[in-house]
Amino acid sequence: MKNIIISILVVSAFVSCQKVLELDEETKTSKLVVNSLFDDQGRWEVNVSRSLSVLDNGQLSIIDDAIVSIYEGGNLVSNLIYDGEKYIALGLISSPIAGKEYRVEVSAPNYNSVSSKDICPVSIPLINVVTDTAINSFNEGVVTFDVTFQDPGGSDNYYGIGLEITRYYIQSNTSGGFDTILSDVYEPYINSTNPIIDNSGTDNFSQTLTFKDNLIEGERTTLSFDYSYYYISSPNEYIVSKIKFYSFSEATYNYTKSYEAFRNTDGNPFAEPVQVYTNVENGFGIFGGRSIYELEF
Amino acid sequence: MKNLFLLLFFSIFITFSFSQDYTISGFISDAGSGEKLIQATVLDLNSSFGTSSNLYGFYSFTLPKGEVQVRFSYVGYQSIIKTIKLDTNLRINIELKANSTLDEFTVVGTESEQIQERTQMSTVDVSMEKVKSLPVFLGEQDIMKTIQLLPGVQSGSEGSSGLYVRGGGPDQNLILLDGVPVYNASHLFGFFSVFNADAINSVQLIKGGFPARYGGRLSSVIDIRMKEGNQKEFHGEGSIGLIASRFSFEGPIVKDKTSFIISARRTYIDLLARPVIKAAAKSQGTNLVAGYYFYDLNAKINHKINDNNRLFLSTYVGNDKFYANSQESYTFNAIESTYDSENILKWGNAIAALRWNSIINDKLFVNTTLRYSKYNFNVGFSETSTEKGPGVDNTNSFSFNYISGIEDWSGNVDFDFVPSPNHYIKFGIGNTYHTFSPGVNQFKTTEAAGSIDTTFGSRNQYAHEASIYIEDDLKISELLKVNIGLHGSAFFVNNTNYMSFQPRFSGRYLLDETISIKASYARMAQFLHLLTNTSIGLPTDLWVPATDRIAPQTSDQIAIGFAKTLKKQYEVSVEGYYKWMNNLIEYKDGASFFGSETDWQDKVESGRGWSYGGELLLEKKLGKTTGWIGYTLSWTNRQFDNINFGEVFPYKYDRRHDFGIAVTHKFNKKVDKKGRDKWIDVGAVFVYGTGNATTLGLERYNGAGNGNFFGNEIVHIDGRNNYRMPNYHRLDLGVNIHTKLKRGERTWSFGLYNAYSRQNPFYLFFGFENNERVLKQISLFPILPSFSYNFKF
Repeated sequence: MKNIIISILVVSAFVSCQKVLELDEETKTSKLVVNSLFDDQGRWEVNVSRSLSVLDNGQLSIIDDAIVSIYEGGNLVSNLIYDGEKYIALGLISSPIAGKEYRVEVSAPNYNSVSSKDICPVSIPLINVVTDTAINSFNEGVVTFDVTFQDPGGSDNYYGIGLEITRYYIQSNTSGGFDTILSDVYEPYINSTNPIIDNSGTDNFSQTLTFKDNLIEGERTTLSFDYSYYYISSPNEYIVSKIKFYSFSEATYNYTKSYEAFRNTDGNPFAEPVQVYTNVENGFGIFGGRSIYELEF
Repeated sequence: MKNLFLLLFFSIFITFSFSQDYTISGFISDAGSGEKLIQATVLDLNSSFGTSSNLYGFYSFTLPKGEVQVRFSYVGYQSIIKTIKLDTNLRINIELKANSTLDEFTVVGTESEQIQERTQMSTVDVSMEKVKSLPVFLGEQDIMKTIQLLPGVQSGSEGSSGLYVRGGGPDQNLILLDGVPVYNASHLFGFFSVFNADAINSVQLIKGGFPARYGGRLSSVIDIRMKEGNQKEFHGEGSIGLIASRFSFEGPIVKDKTSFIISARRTYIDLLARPVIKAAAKSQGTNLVAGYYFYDLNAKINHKINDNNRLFLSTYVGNDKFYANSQESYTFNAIESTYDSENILKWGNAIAALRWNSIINDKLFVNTTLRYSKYNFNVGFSETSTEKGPGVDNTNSFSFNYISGIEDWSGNVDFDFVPSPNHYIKFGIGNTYHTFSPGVNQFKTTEAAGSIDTTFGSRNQYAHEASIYIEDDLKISELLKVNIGLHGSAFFVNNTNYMSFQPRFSGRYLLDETISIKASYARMAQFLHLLTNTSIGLPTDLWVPATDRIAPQTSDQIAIGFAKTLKKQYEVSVEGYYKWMNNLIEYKDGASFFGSETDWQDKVESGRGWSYGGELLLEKKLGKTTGWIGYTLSWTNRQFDNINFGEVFPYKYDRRHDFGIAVTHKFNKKVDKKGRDKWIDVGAVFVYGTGNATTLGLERYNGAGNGNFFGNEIVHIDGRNNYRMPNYHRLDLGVNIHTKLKRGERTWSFGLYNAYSRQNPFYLFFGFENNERVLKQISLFPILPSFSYNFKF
């Protein structure tokens, strides 16, 4: 008897370590994912794909048989056409208009229909841009930007700043002249210590810095940010910087900010989990408006 | 209004100055040990006026001139009734004898005033006898684990000794050891608390209706008082258990004048495991020494200067340490290469208190305290590699240390003023000087090419926290008694000042002799925050001050309930509460305590929280079978503008149902074959709680990227703390076999933790099972038997 009890205790001590838990059926049901970041300079483009449970190793494939309709108020703007990758608008009315609110409705066989709505905000221009370049101790080039803009005031405004860097090099051609060759196009991680930036605190670097106007309501504001790059020592190389100054809708702001945080911490076991914002009812994704003011130099 | 104040002033003046009243005062102590008895009752049998002794055993009782019959009593002790002709102020020190004439098992407990008579609500005195007799985890008696069984108190995860009181966080508990705050009260990642039960005299938990003398935390006060040391004779007690042993020794240095107690505990997991680890590493070609241990040491000296003055010096030191040191060496081409590495993870508290008790006059008692408290956390590693041989002599070293902590120096003066049986006034002032070290990184390298020695991270911050209070336990009539008070506090950090005035009220109204209704209100302010990372359970939590950017936490709590004594054996209390909390902090989405180049203030968000619910406590304190049943029904939520997109979310320890039973039964004494007294007591604990909330992403989809249609794959989290872990329940059983020896007593204790081996959740993760991705739950402790050998002499 004593031996049996001891055996039971020893076995018990080693059997109860891990256990598989069941998830709700709701989380196992695939849903429609609608992604569209629209602005007043581009045409309507919507991507439709499917979501899966985290337990499902399947592909997050595109849905190619969906019906995608864009409405402005109660009026149909356009039924979008699948072009083999995404749904696009054809015809005369192909671009969103700043200041208007749009709604998207998407349905597809075997999926619940989803919808979302958002406004296309008005673009805010940059009034002034000052840049400066220095070389740091790691022999990196550090470019500092001071950008100035006027917050309109009287309403909640949401902003974003990003950079697009294009690297070129010049090489001689066979006819004795020179060709300019595109080397690389990328969006670098940028940094700002300005307290109005709300996604600089987690690790200081993001591809898109986001901020609200609650601290600068109606003010003319100058914001500094910088990025670093491998210093170009060859006279045959040069770079072109394009500042992208975004005016976001609230939904786009929430999405961009949370998406940046998610990307920066994905896989870090010590980081707080990040919720990525979605405004698609019954599904996932983002249907968000923004306007972009671009300045290249 | 002016006339009203004048009227009040004259009535108090007349009451205190011209009445023919005289005061009896003194100390009440245990006749056997000289240990002071806290909350012993002093009752005038003619008028039914009464008072009780304070934390230092002092009482003061003012009665009209004439012959009075005064009863001094304390549960578990023989009462003394003295007939006193009162025509002058008298000093009477009372020594009560432990109740040996009654069956010693029929009376246990520490309270003498019945629950319905007490002004204070939401308060539980934890019996040290109960702490020692209940079944325990791995044979280690633990005050905090006993407190977790009470309603309104929730434990954290499996095995943890953390406390979450009425929806508050672990930082919101003011844990006082001899009046000194303890910042981290746990060993071994929270599986054990730092309090050695052998050194503890009394424990009181306050969850609401806080008296004005307490301040600085929002959710609870756990007031733990160490023993003072036997003033009459030498005694010792100890225990040898599965993972740790402890020993206490106490006695007089000068009989009836100076006494001491010293108590120590150490685990020996590392000593037992070291040979195994070393052998395993050696088979891999490495010389490795690794292990973990914790120890703590309590000591106290108590000196009676004269009848009016006493000095106490108490200290606690405790540390946890993980270490792993390895060494490898080899020789190649006549060059000998060695590689040493050292890794440590350690944390610990050190506290000290120097206390001076003084009786200014028969009605006024003063306690002056100088206090020191320090908590340090340190994780670090160092590597050294050397190459020595013909023409070669290189040494490279690299070390990294992450240090955080808090250090306090403080002084307090507290007065007890007892002008009449209807008033018990307490007032005092204090100041604490805090030094916060919220995450400092030290990085050193030494190479042939040069050295780097740098320190970076959040800078030390310094703050003063001042407090002042006054409270009066006021008997308005036989039926109505209230405790009203005001606590004021101020916090000075850098160039920012915060002031807070906190009104406190609690009262009881007797409906009849056995039942009363009670109500309380308390505003609390807390100038310290604890940054807690929810993803892992390391002791990496950072204590940080309120700053110009991060405001102090505040709370308002109301509670209402009733208390009843049934058949003189059972006490029932039912309470409902609602607590609002402001300026709570949480890490931002994506933030981590690592990456300390960012100021901690940039990593947190401020928000609010609230908790409400009801609690039932049915307790049996007398008889052979004693214990309690506690049940809590509660809701706890948080709301932060920039977390969960501003939506309300449940607190991690939001627990809808929390149920606990703790019972012990003592069997009658028997005489064994050797003629020795022998007796057995058995205990059982059962707990049930709704599963903790945790944050899990359960669905995935493609993100939009920055204008691109296919960005990163996103794991969708429906909301912070969106997923409920499975419910928690557990049964513990224990038996203690006591034998009276010629000199002292021995006890064999046997226990079963988690008797039916419930797989309770510790944490969840996604893994694979048969090539399928699944959600898995890790459970820490299956059924765990334990035993310990305890002795007293």
